[in-house]
Amino acid sequence: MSSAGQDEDKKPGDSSSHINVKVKGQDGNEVFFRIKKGSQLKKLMTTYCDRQSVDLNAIAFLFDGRRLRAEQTPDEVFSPFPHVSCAL
Amino acid sequence: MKGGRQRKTKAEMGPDDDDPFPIGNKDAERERQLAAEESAEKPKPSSEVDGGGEEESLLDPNCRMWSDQDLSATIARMKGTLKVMGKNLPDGGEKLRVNIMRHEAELQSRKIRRDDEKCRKLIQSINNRTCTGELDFTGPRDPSSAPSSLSVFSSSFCGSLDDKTAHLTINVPGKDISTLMQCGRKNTRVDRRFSARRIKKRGSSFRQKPFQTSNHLPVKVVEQSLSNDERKRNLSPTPSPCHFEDDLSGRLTKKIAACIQPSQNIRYDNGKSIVLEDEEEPEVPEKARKADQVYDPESVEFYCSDLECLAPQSYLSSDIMNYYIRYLQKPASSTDTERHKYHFFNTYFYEKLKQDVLRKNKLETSFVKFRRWWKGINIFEKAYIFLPIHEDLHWSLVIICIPDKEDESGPILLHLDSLKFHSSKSIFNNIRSFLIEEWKFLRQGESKSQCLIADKIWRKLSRRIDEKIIEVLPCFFGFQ
Repeated sequence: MSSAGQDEDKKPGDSSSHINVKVKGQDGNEVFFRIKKGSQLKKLMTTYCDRQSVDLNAIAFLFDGRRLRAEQTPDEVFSPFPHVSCAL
Repeated sequence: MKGGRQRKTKAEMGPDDDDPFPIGNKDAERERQLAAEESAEKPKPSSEVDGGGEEESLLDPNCRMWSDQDLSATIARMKGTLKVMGKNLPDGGEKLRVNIMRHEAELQSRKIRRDDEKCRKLIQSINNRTCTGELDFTGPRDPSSAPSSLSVFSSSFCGSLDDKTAHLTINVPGKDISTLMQCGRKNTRVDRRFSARRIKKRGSSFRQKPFQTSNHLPVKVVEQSLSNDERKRNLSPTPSPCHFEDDLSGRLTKKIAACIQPSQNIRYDNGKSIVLEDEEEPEVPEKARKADQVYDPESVEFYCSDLECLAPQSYLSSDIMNYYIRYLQKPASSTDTERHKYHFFNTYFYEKLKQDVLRKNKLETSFVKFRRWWKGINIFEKAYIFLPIHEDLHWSLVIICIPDKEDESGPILLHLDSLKFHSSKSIFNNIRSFLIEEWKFLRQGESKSQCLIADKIWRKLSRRIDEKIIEVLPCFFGFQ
């Protein structure tokens, strides 16, 4: 199973509760989503996969080189101080 | 009454709308609409009956017993009478008109009841298909069983939602159970129990069918933290703790996705970019989300099915590779200084690097964006940088050796390819331009932190990058 990298870029949203997310495929196609900051990315991922007719498990969503998990929310991932990494 | 009819018409039109979603969704969409229709219209007949009850005395008491034909014949007759002699009547035909309206109402409510029944029957047949793989084309069901089927459905659906809330991970299809048994024996018991329960439920949930992904839905094994004891011990395929994600979560998501579709505002820009807007409330329970927030951001998530790629003659997946990279990076000792001397990029990095290098109209910002991939890390402060390359189902490795202060040479690029399958030349070119770009960037904001490289080499770094192809003999572990 090869994983195709998908990039996500954050775009400043006009309202505080929503966020505009750009999903960029390896072929350069861009799909824009506008989602609630508190809702899980799973929703975005499944919608994207449905649209692109790909299996959710066959692709990887990456943000700044980190793979995004379906359970994460934009609040956790795209916040100004995203993660304090404390791996030993 | 009118509202009910309108809603129905709208629901019927749904699938014929310009649906931008894959055709496969249409079934799901239809089911969803049926459900919406059902829930929307379910209370209608009863309220209709109640409403009719108040004026029951005015309506012909036998009216309820009449057949539809009788009813419509009566209506037609009364309409005729109204037309012919309505004006001559003392009340101007008002009473007759009211009577006609009531009869029509009765007729209408019967129609809705019938539709409701039909809809329920369809759901029943879908249920049976889900359960036994057969279509149910038997005659009309006992109407008394219909409401109970609805309540069974709703209770089972709520139950499913509860399961999600509790983050139970169940209903693993048979094939995956065996996989699980191999990799996590302690979970098997729980698993079986719940899968039995789930199968029971399946019979009553009509939603299950369209969202069933059981045959190919892999079990999700979630690595939570690298510091996990079990992970330190070995690399056996029993990462702990395991989460066996219920296939419900997949269904739930699809359900959510299906629900948001109508409200999505879809716009095509230059035929390339699409705007999806959803204004739906997140349906995920807050509690379930909280539990997920404890992840190590560096954690690698993979599925049991990914372990299949470790079998002989299968291709290694990125997830497994990334996991192994993380495993290699785990601290060897408490006084872990070695670890800071090297940096591993993940398997997705080279693809991104290539995109960045090949980008024609280069903007300053694009590289700045790209730099977020190694945020907080100064590449030139590391001794070695490992760069896995995955192309054409083959893996190779590039090691960038950054010279020490005492070294006379510049950075050396090593390419290790067991099959010489990847073009070393283009890889070197790409990585060279990446290094130069990073070097230029760091020189702009010259800070004295790059003291690991001798100054005279640093100044001419772009011309001092050497390349070497390292011979790697194909190594078959099975024969050792």
